[in-house]
Amino acid sequence: MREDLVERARQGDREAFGELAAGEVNRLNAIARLVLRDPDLAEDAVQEALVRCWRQLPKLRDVARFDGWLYRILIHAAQDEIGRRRRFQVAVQSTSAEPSVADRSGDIADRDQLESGFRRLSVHHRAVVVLHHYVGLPLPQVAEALGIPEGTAKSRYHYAMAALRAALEADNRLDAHTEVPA
Amino acid sequence: MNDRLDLLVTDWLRSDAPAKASPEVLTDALARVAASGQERYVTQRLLGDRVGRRQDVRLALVVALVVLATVGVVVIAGALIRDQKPVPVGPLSNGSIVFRANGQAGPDLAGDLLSARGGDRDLYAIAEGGRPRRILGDDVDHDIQMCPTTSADGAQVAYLALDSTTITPTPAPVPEGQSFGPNPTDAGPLSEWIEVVGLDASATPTGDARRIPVPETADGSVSCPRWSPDGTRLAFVIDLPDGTRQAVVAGLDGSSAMVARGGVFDWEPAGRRLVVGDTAAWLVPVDGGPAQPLMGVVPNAVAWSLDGSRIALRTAVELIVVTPRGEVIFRQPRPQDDTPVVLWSPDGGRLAEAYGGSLHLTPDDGTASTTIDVDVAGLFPDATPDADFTPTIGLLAWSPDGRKLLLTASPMFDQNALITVAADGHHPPDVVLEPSLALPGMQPGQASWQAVHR
Repeated sequence: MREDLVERARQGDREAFGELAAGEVNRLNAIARLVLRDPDLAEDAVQEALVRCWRQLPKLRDVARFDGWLYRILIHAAQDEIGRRRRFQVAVQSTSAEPSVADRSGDIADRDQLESGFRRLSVHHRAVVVLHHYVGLPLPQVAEALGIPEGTAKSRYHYAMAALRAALEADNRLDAHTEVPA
Repeated sequence: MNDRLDLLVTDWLRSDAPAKASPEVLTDALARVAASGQERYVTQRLLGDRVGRRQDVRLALVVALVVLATVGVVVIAGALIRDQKPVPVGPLSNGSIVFRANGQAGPDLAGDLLSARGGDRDLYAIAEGGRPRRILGDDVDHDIQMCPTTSADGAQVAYLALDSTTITPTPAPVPEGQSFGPNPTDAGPLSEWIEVVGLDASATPTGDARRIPVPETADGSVSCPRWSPDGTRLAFVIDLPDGTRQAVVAGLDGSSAMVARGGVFDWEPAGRRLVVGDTAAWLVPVDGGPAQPLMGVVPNAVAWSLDGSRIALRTAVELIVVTPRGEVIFRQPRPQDDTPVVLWSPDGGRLAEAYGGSLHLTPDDGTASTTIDVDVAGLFPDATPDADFTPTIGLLAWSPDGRKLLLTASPMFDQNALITVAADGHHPPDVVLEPSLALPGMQPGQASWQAVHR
């Protein structure tokens, strides 16, 4: 059914593309939001990705690879949004300049440190993490979706996870130093 | 820690991801989609979607386009090259001028001479704008070197050599009222041969030399040799004891053969025949076979154009240009001259002659000749002209690049200079060598312009 929609859209059927886009937009928006950490940027990236998808769909060789192909378009659109507006960079700088003041108890503290560590990563590294952990793609498929060598995908993934681990460990050390003896 | 981190990241991302996009995202995107078309490869438009989107098909199209573009460029460039009008420039550039001079003037021709007579002749070389230097012969040898001729590729020089000890001068009587008489006659038997020496690009002998004997002659009369176009043979004319003159072709291995009776000759550019002038003009195969009559005139000079399409026959009073089949292209009257010179330009487009004190260039169809006046007296204002001597010029050679002509200029009796004249006539002559007694009796065969590769 979905492949049929893709095939029809590839032939220029706008109605089929509308149906296809309606089924993809929430997933794309979630990925873009996770990668970009900015709702406005994410929506712009999704909109641009859908338009590019429509235009370039006739060039898609294998309908079965539509998902990976669409992820690649989305990530490229996300990168372009950052480059065009340069708003995200400002947000990263202002955020990283301020120490987290979130609640330091339990999961909430972990999430806060994950957020802080994640923002320090580049879009390339974030995309690998999001496609692997949120979308659930194995790293070889992540590499194929992003159009990068498998080794590069693995390298980016390990770098990103090490950075997140360091962020969590720093938080734990901070907790130890600020603990008041009974 | 890894498992915990993986779970933590996965859980965080899933909980952080928004459930829905705002409705405007889809509506705005579809509005843009409604206004835009789709992109397709050129191959999809040409071959349909299914075949045209294949990568190997697109690659094949790119390769085909590159090949077509390359072929197109080659074809267009070839057409442009074919359409270019031939310019009078040869494939080689100008090297040194090799000439015969009186060795008594020393290795650089700077020595004072009291007379143009006497002294062994040696071979010298001079580059345009340079100084003369002796390249063959010295002050103590007994050999006379003369008639230098460089091969078409400039890598060899052939010249006529004579052992001066075999000369027995027989003075001629001095006419009454004059201070000196004609040159002494040489009596034999003479030891005479042709020497072939290798040259480098600066006309310096490389050390390679070979001697080619000449057949016995009546009184040592051997003409200046001329190279075959491929540089493997030499032709010259000898006077036989029976009073006839014979054209001889000699190989570099010393072999030689008399090929025809005649006094003047020139090589066919293909090197298979000679045009020979005797009581008529003949085409003579150099490797044997019957001669073919070319024209029933008595030429005093002959010249075969380097493109092979024209043969110039200069009789005592006429210039006739014919095809190798004897078809007359044009014939024009000329002043009486028993020793004329006619030289085709390297591109075969023009014929050079010198008469009446001027240089004349005639196109190969005989139309619109160009006359270049050379003011010899004005060129050498310090020379003291003799009362009964008219300054004159003589034609020696074309430059290998076809842009200039080498001439001898005589402002005074027995004093000759070497000059060059631009073939377009737009520049004043250049003096290569100032007037000197060291250049006696300069004839075309006594100087050769070496060609060098660009």
